[in-house]
Amino acid sequence: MSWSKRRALAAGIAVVTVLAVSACTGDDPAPDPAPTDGGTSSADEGWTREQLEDVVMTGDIGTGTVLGEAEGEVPSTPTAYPASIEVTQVLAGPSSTLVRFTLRGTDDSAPLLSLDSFNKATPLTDDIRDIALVDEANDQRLQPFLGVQDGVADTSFCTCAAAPGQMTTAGQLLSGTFPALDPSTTSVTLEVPGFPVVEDIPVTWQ
Amino acid sequence: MTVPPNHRHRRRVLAAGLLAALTLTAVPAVAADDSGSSAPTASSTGSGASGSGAELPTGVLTVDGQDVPVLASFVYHEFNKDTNPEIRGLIHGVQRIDGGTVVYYSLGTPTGSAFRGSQAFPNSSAPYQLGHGTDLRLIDSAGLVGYRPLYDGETTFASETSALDGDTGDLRVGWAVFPELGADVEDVQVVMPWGTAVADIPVADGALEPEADEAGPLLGEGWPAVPSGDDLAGADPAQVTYDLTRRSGDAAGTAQVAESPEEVAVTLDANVLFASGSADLSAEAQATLATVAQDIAARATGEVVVTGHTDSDGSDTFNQTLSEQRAAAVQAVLAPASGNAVTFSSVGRGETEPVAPNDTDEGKQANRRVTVVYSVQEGQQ
Repeated sequence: MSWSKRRALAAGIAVVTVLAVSACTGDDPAPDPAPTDGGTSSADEGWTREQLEDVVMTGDIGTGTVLGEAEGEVPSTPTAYPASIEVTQVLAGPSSTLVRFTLRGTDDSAPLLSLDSFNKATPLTDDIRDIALVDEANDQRLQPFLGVQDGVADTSFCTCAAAPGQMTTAGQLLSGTFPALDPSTTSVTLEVPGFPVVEDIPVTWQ
Repeated sequence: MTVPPNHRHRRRVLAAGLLAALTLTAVPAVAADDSGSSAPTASSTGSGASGSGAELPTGVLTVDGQDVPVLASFVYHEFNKDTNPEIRGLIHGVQRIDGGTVVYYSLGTPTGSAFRGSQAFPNSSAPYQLGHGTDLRLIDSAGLVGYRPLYDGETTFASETSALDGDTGDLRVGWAVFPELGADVEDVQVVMPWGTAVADIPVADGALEPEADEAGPLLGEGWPAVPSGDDLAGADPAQVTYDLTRRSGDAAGTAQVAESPEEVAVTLDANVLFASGSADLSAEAQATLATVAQDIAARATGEVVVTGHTDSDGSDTFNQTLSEQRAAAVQAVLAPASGNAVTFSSVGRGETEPVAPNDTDEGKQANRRVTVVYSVQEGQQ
């Protein structure tokens, strides 16, 4: 599938913004005791279970900061629905790249989405395998891995989120595991069917 | 499955070669940010920058006096519905044990009156027992192998979801056992329920300690007991093992590579290789095919199959003939440059095997393609 053509033909409002990642400020809530020992990693500080649970349950674990966003339409069948995508994390490791983004309806219709919205070839596998990550600097386009048994594509799985069955303004949390990026990569572009590409997304390296 | 240490290099040689061949203008220098640094910067937390709320630490924390590895985090909605409460959790270890690999995780919910472990997982189904947290995957992306949890005729080797019941805000520890990993596997990826991705996790040895009495202990109060080697002896790893396909290509999508442990399938955009309605190869095609031939020569075995496809414009007869001619043209370039370890065949499929609808220009472009498929020598993936 030609993504260049898809970009040109994407329906809906093409609004693409890139939000700078803001650094932690002094008034951000911190666990108590605060892990502020400058000589050692915060990992060495003692925690209570309640403190750690609080950070997990209320902190930003990869979905709270918008690194880039776009508005478009989910290419659901037979009707496309207006929506936005917010990219919240691109975490690169030695063997793979984690991408997290939120799909959010832009009105109160709360539609049900068809299985082929983000998976045209094998919709019954119930996932979003058509998403792609592009490293323009290295001219590389990557997609999530597919797991196949006995060569049967229809029962394959994707290292990506299950297909969203519904979409509301609350925001559907979606993600994917992609192949590893080139070590020199500092920013990427996310391609999601029905949406303008989200460019210049900063990469965080593990 | 043992993967040669240079496997990743070979894959990247093919991918990089294809990309270089298709580049029509000079590849720009790696983009530097305004500070002038083009090197990736490591995140001290591994969880991304925080714009709201406290940052999640990673590493080995001391929680209520116990060492607790915090390697990654995840979040998804109950039953994958965005109006349902979130399920939040952590990955604590991917540990080699006798007969398998155990993934330790903890999870809970920040909202609601109480938490039921069953809210965090789809209903488990055959071949697994009901009421177990089995919707996890263990991914060896470097070795191109994926796994589901082990089971035998009587036992599902994963936490019972009821063991994870608790109060709102609690994190309780669960586990799932997967097949043994290859000895040289250094890191893996975990996929949590509903396909929720988790970053690279290092592989370590041995079950986590201390062992708790509870099946789903609260985080910091010990680790759940995991099956022994004898317990796992009846499980068949092959039943839960999948070949992974790595999908990559150039940024424009004109050359796409789907690579599995035993096979490479290169899909080339016929619009780039040939002029419209012609089987004469372009200058750009020559460079691209040279890269493919190089990879074939390096690691292919058996028969290389070149297949031509067209869109539905024009008659069936014309499209059949054109696809045959195009496949033959590609073979004519590949064969002499691919060494003596392989044989070639070419075939035309005309418009009979579309990959996209022919009622749009975009779909037709996708259908106009040539594929080159070859098997990879054992140990050369």
